[in-house]
Amino acid sequence: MKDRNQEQSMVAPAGTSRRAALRSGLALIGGSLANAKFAAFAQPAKTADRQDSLTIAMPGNPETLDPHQFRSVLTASVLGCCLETLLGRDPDTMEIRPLLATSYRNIDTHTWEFKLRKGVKFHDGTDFNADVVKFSIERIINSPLNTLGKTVWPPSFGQRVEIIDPYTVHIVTDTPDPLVPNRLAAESLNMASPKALANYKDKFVGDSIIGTGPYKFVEYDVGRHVIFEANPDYWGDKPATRKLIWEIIPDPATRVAALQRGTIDVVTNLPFPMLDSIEQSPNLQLYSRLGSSIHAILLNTLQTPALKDKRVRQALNYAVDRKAILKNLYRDHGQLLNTPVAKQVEYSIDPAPYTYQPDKARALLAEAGFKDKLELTLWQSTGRYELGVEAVQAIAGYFEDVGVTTNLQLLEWGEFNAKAGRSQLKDGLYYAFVNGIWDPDYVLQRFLPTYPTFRYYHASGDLKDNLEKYSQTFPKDERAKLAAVCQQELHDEAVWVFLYQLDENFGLKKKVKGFKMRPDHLIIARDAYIEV
Amino acid sequence: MIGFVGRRLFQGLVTVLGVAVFVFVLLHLSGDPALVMSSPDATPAQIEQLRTSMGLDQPLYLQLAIYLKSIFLGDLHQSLRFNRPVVDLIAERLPNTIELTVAAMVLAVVVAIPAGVIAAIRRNSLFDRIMVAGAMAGQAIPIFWLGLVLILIFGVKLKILPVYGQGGLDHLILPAITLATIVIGRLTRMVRSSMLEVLNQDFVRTARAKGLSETRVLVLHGLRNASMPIITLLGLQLAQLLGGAVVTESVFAWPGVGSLVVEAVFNRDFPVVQGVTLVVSTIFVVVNMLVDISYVALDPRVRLES
Repeated sequence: MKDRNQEQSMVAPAGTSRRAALRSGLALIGGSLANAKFAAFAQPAKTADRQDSLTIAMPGNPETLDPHQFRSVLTASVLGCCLETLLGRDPDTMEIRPLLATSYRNIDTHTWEFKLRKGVKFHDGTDFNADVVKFSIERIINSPLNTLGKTVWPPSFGQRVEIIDPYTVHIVTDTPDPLVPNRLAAESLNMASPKALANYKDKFVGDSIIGTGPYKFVEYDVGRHVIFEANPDYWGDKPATRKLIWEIIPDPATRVAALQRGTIDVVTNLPFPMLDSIEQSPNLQLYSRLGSSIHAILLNTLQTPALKDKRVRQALNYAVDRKAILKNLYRDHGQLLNTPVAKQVEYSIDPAPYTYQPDKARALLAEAGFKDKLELTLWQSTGRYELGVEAVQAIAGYFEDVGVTTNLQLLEWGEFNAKAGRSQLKDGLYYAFVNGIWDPDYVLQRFLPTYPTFRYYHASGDLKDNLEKYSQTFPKDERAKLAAVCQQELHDEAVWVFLYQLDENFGLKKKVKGFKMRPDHLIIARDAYIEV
Repeated sequence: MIGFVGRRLFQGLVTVLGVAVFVFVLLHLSGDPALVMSSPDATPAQIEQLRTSMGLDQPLYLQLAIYLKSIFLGDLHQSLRFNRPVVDLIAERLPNTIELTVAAMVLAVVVAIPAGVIAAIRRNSLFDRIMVAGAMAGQAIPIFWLGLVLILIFGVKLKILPVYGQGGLDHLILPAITLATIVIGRLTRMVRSSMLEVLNQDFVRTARAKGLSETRVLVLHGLRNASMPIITLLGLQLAQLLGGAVVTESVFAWPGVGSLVVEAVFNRDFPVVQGVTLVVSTIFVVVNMLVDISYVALDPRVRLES
């Protein structure tokens, strides 16, 4: 909290009325929302022309049934059938939409007001109201539990909930936070029933899910399935299918076989080598959508002397033929990444890419004094990224081609992730971030010297100032400008070897309609149905 | 006999406890589950908080003492991932593994013993050569490949058997065949070689000279005397499969202890790994003890020695 306050004082524009600037920005935010007509996400369900149930096959058990403990987007997708947040997002545009909050406005830099939806009940009969919001946020942020919400909304913001009336709350933060709505639209900030969690304030739930969502939890049989049924008392539009079954089938070939046989309707985590088997089948369809996971080689510029030199980092970017990797490994199911922010995220820019120019890479290395002298270790995890080991082998080959001796090291994901977060891997590591709050800030923060984890590059000078300013700026137009400047500079600085964003692939029966994956990889199952 | 069983029980208990201590120490040396369960963005304070909540901040010997004490009380702790008692998770999965194992073993015995006996009787015949080659192939075929081929043929093309999961008898057929194939290979070869050894013995010649029927000679004198190594192999296979047929369970999405423990290892879910290891090692010890007791029942010489 102390650090953030210091940052705030550093970025306050000298001699200007910050409050005035903020007010104009807030007016923009508030105005656009106040005028918005908040339509629900789905069309009303018709049951006569559709099948009663839908079965989705996924590779593993959900990590948990606790509304706040999960890490993976697949678990968030499963739990998302039952649980809801204050704000939601449009599955196509990712615009923030009301969900359990009907509207919100920014009162001042420290205070946001949320009006809550009336007449909403949890599946256990508990009323949704301001007490629930306070209970949920306190459980996520202030309890000793290891929640994902603490990553999405660090407790250092000093956030708390003040109940104004049963259906109005103020979210107050010690540190100004322009991203409160973004954070409250994240699945990790699910609203949970205080009655259901009365005995679970300080420990995680294991056997049921109680939410306000369109589906009610029916059964979780570990290793077999999770079953949901439509909630007849749902406050919004009814889901498209009455019964939703998430089957657990670890082997991808078996998942595809089950789809071909017809016992499964949707297959998640479809491996790239299996795309053909779906495309060639007359009864199946391939659903591909660009994911927002940004794949890159993070360069340890703090511990590897050679990587402190921008020319070396740029050379490594010019050395890799990313298009060839995308085409040959991923069947062209992806797009090149050119900044640390995914293309779909608000305020992202797309600067001119580092194209494959091995001669230029060699020249830059020679200019920096590393012609045929540089030796790097490249780390990759196993069991995490599809074809990730093959990709990093190809990248190492490209590095070798420009005279950089490259040693590959593989680590099991758990160990890799822990070491990566604690900044212990050098000289480079393959990593992919998914934007948890759908704002550049989620990634840009990581380049600040004050950021506690993933310390591989420290911004300085104007870049540092702009990054700090961006975190504290409210007006949208100013945020857009600052985000563009920061991204361009991080691109020019070649802070990472920028790689790509990949498509997420699903196999569907031809008759499945309404299935969607949001750009942040969340599966929207509530609108999916099988046409009869 | 009672003394023999008592001694074996005591040895078994020591073995199981040894395994429990060994696995506990190895797991705790393998890494910190708090780190795996934390986000890479988690601060050191958050990780420490998690470590404390899981009791991992205590000295290792204290954690071990608490664990051993709870074992004797029948408590295998809570799964870190599922937030449920490990005993419940194992109790849900073990019957599935037993079902699959028993089916595979019955299939293996029904196929391999007659095949091995006939191959031994008709040594060097075409049948014998086919059996030997088949047994070798059964052992050599990668089990995941066989499982997927069976799924594609019987599940997808012919649509006569389910593709995955556990349910009625029809769900059991493909995984049982897949799992039995490797056992059939080993068992056929063992039966054949044991029978060959026995059939050349004097007592078999004597039995034939007494005018006994060939069936009696083969079953009562041949197979019974050849049964010791066969039972040993069967016991080992049974115990091994009860520990979880990891690949088969994964290919057929069969919810057994094998897939449970693999997932637990990846997630550093220590209590589950420890609990499953303890149960599996107990099964191993019990099965081996039963095999030893069966020696006593089958062979009077062992009875005298014991």
